[in-house]
Amino acid sequence: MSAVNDTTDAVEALNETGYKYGFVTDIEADTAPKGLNEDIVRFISAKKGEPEWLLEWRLKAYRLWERQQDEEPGWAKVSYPPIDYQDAYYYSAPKSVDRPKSLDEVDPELLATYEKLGIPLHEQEMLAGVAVDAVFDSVSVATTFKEELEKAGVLFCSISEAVEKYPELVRRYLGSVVPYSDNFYATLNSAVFTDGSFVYVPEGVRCPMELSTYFRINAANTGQFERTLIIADAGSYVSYLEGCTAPMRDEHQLHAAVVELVALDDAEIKYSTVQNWYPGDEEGRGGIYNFVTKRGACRGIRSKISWTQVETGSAITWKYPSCILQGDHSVGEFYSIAITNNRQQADTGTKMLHVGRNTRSTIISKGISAGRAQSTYRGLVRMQGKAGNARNFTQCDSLLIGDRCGAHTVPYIEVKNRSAKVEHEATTSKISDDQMMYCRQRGMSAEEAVALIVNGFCKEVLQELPMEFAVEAQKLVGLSLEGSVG
Amino acid sequence: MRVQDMSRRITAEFPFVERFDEVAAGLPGAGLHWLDALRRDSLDAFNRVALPSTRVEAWKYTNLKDFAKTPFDIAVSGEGDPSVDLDGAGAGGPDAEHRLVFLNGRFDAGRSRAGSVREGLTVLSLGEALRRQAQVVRPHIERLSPLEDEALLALNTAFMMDGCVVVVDDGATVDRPIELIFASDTRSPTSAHPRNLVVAGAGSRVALTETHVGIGPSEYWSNPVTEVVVAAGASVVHRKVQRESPRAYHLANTRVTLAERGTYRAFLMSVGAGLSRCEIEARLEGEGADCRLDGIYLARDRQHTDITTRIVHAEPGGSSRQLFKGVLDGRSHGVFQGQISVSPDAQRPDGHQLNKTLLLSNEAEIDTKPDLEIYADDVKSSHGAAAGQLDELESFYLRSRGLDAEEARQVLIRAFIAEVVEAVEDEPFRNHLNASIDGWLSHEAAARETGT
Amino acid sequence: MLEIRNLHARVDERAVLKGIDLTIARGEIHAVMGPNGSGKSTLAYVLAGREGYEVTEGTVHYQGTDLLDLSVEERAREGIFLAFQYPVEIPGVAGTTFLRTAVNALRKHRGEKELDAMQFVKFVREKQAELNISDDMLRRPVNVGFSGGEKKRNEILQMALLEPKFAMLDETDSGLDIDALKTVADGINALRDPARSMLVITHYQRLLDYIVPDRVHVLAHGRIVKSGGKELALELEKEGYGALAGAEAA
Repeated sequence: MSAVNDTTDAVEALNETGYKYGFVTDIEADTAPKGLNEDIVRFISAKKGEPEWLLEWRLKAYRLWERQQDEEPGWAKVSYPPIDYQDAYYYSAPKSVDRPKSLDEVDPELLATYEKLGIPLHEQEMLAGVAVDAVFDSVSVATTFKEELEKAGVLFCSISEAVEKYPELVRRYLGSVVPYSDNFYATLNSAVFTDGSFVYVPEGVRCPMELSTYFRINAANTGQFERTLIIADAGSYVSYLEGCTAPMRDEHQLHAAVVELVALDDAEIKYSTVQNWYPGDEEGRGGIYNFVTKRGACRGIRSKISWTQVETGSAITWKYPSCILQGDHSVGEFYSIAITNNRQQADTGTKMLHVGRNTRSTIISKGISAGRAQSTYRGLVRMQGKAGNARNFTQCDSLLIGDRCGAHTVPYIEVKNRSAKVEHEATTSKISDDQMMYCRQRGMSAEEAVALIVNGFCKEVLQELPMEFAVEAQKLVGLSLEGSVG
Repeated sequence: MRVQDMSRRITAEFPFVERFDEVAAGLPGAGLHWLDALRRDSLDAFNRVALPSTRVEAWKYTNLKDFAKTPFDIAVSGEGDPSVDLDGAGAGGPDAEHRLVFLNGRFDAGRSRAGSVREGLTVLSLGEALRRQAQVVRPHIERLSPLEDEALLALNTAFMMDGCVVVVDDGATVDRPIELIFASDTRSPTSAHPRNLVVAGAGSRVALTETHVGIGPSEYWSNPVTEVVVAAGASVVHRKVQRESPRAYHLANTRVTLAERGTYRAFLMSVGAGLSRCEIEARLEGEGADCRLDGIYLARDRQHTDITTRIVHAEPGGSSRQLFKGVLDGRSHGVFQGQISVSPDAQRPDGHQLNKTLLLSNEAEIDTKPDLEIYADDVKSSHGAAAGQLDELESFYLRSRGLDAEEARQVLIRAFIAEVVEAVEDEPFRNHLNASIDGWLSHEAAARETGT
Repeated sequence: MLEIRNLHARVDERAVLKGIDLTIARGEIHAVMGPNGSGKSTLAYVLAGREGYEVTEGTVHYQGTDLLDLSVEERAREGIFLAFQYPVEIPGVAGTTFLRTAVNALRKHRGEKELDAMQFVKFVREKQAELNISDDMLRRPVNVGFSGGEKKRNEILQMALLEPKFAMLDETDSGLDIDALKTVADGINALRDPARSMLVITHYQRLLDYIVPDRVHVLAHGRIVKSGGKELALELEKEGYGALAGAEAA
């Protein structure tokens, strides 16, 4: 039980000392020098006591990344000044959870927001027996419910621990869905990832609880490069929840994570994200650059991967959780809500690659833009030549609030099999004056009305979220649109 | 910005481009100082940007690599068999007002037929227009030219040979269609760069029917650019049938601007050419402008057919409708890219788009990218896209009523595209379309029977 | 309760109300009748505070305060309710969620504790039965796919839950068959209260057979051209609006 107590203590310590997301926890970070070069990669690997093969893999990634310096993706509908990759720290490990600085340093506005949100970090254990693997900056500090999971045979730990304890599994699957050469940010992540979660659900096991990880970006100028690997063996099931928050800062911070999912025969993975990284202020100062590669492989027949995301934070979101539907009869799902307000930019969507026969995919995307924000849905549906009888249905709806924002829909549909069927529908609209009048006549404020109408607009996605997340997400929807009307 | 990135470019070494000075001297308007300079600038622009590779977003699905290797020259005046009869080639039907025939990109006076002289209507070849009314043509030609990143448009400007200039005065109504026929008949790989201009004055009405055909044995490249200016309250109907020979590259650009309450109705049938791309951009620049683009694409064998549209709602209250349907057989490759873009001040626009494709074979491929780019909040806009095969149940139903498999198949294919054809108001043109579709279907059926 | 003096209002630059005078005392039911386009719905929207309905002249006092100073939701929280002629669809928002948000907005305003989901279900249940509203109807998104009768019953349910002091019923009878009309009228009559005033807007006399008004006013060309007791409605039914409207125009 000591692991559980440790986590509880750690989490409670955070709460008692007033950590409310917007707080810079004062941890004596064991930090690598600024900048990125081969030595830093070696430093990270050595610090974590990694085996030779992993160091070699990191170095291959680093060398490729170095050659690709000019190939940072430019196709997304987002704009930002060039990132100086040499002006950041790539490793910072907390030695201990230590005294935080005073509350005075925190923007009261932000604190009030989190107060209203009341994301129940310490309550999570009580709620429905959620296991928390809190990623503190880059290194996992605690894991709970280990015993119960172990009893079921589920392996849930930090990826560093997995490298140490289950090297064969990690070696076999790491990079097998998102190869180190996949894209600029994935390559960077492969070279410098510091921690993240690892899950292995053995054959026939239904994971007894929702697995949950809270990521937070903490140290100033530290990019967060987590790497998550989830393997669901034949006939197993797991639901994984990821919540993200970050303290506010004036400068932009880079978050380039990689998530790999593997589902074998008849296995199912449900991956849910509620992302409210710091979005920057009203003028677009500060905020997270969230450049994330998430992909799942439905390797086995009748396997299923379902992505649900509620993206309300980050200054820029660049994210396309995807499914490779290799196994016959496999199923991919993508349910997304992306809310952008003020100067936020989001370019997000999915790729559904139908390889096997009778594969099915569903895409439901709800984009909401307010303020001066720009929100883009970008999605690819590809029916390969062998994907007989494959089916896709896509529905993309955009809602605009205010006249200075933008909403864009860019679907790519590629069909190489005549028995495959693809349907795509998209709409863009605004909240009607009639709807606002109706709600306000019933006593709701303009903001309550917007929150209500937007929650209704997002309903098909919200109902895909696990209970604990759904409530939080609904509140987030309202909060992230504050100030967008009136 | 990324001009330096050569992976985004295909360098072509077309002989006629190398011989620009020599060729330009023989092109219409040679000696007009502004035009000579414009041609020169456009050539420089083409050399600078080069042809787009599939790394360029707008060309993601249409690969010009093989095209760029073809040693195209420019068509020589007078080439082509004078005995070839082009009378029946046009889609305009017997009651066309004027018929202008362009052979290998040059005006063919012998095959053309001038209609009656009409109040308020001027129809000239570009060469003639540059001689007689250069001041009318100049602002339009100059306006289209400085566009960035438009290699084919730049090349057209540098080498525009001839084309049709139609000017309709304010308030004039031209009740019978003007017919344009672009024919190619060459013995070696040649290129033609027609440039057309249609200016419809305030409150005027005009219809055009444009047909592209090819006869000769050689590969050729048709690179037409058509500019349509729809003034306030004017109405333009623009029909186009692309049935070039299978050895053709047809890379066409249509640019339309609409002033307030202007309407533009376009119908496109793309059935010919080995590789074709018909690009239409319509800018709704006045309040209450209305644009409708419909089309059909049919392809088989190794044909590649690309329809790329972009509708820009730049002013409030405009409406646009697009409906494109395609049928793909053999190893053909269809591309539909349709963008609806709404500018920040263009409130209350109403933009809708639908694209559906029927795949008849397992080797055919459709890539479709319906794209909404919205910067205004009071918007009603939607798009849809679907791809699939003939419905087996429907086919079964028809066969149970006595149709054989092939008949059932043809009935269902026709039913699939009927929605688009039936929206065509002009009867002669609709008949022409139906005949073309019949021809395509029977060829398709025959090919199926012989197993090719 | 409500005192309207010389009220002028315009919509989209067009003058619609051209000097309305109307006083409604506590507990009274007034009916406003009139031909299409006479300004009946505009009057309701102006009193409810809809944006885009611009008051150019005149005053409205409600329980002694200047009503025109308040926003839409402030008026609602002060007890003004409008049953819409065309109730608005809100996709994805379940009826109960909508009602609970509205009820809690009012409770918050009155300094009462907000109801949680369970308490709310109990609170709604009895009113629901009276208006023949099924649980299923409340689970469905607000007004989406509702029949005409369902929409109107839903409006009256909202009125019953929000317990307004001054309720306006804008053509609540339109599009209803006789059975639905009766259900709706029963619902409204059940809400008659010495402390509650109502303004019933209708084109036809039919509704007033069920909801008997204290006063009837005829609106034409943006003015009240005639007022009287409940018998005026019957008179109108016989004579039509023609004579009155024509008299005004001449």
